[in-house]
Amino acid sequence: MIRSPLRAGLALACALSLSACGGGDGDVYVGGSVVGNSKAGLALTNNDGPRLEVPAGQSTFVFPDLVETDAGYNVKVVASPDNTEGCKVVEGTGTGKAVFSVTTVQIACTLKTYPLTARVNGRHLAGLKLVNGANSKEVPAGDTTVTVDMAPVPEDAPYGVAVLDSPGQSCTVANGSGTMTRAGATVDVTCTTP
Amino acid sequence: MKKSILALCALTLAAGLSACGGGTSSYTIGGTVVGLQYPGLVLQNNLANDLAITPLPLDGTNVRNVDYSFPNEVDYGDPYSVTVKSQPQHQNCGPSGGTADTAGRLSVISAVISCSLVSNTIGGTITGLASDGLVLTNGTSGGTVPVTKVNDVYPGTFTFALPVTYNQTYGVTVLQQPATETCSVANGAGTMGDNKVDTIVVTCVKKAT
Repeated sequence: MIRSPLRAGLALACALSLSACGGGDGDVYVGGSVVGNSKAGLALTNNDGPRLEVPAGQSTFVFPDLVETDAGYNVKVVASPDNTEGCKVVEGTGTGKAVFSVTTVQIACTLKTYPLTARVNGRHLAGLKLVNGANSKEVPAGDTTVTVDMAPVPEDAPYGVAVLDSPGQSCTVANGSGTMTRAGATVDVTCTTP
Repeated sequence: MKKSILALCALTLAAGLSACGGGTSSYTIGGTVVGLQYPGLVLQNNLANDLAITPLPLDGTNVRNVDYSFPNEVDYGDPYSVTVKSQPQHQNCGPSGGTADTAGRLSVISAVISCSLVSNTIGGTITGLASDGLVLTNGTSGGTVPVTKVNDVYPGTFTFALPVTYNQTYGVTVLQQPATETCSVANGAGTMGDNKVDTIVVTCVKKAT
């Protein structure tokens, strides 16, 4: 006697919450977070269902189709943006039993990087240090032109090479800044000895 | 009647206490310092009992946790509160859980102090800017600053939103030139110290037409 009105109420609450969420035949949603998603092209599925396209720059996702409480979920990456080495579901977060709504699926995209080279022209003394922001490189002394590899830079990311230190010389950087392309980038450093 | 109940209460309380405390009624206040890399940290308990904490040598490249305990014990039921009296060099430390309570309430007293390296903003001055389009960058990961009009005038100063951590290098360059000037950066590269950097000079000169 007491049970039936309770059940009816529960069903009503469920129905209400479902319609509020936009439908689907379950009670809980499946979602999570994305890192490294800087270009369009990421698509995910849950239980091999419909594709969910995750727009560029979006750091969270939720599948619109709800799943039943206690049902299994299995999130897969079915397409990755072409500026990445491929996006992956972080191990241990993509499958499980959806007891409550799931927000813990993690997708990690590793960005493709391209070489940033500094060409140091002519004579340069010991202690020459170049930086691209937090990345710094010391250039060994030499009388001829040398190239120095700075840390690789992701496609479409900015770079800007500056002279941190140049004991006994005055060094300038030409074409030191830009936005990385698939061709890589080379900047020119020239030092003059007073 | 009332008095006898009170007496009974007192008796039960005493019995309960000895059961809980196992005979001892004083507690060592201590815990762990996380992330400490430089000397100078002094902790206090209840705003006294100065305790200097020395960082441990690195474990490879990892910073090791430092366990500490105050020599003075605290009686059951007395409050304790571990706070930072002096910060270490180049770091900020603060309470990070379990640092204040009443002795004996928890089975284990573990007051965690967490330290991180200081980070400071970089910025400086801009002169001669008279058109839109200037974008400054601090390398690849240090963020960019698009310089736009504020209240209808081009600003005379700039600051990067992303701070730079102690001992990290920075190098500010012009990523994009404005429409009608050519800008150059002086004093744009350095290694972060303990204070903010506001000495980067961006000078813009009108392009020849």
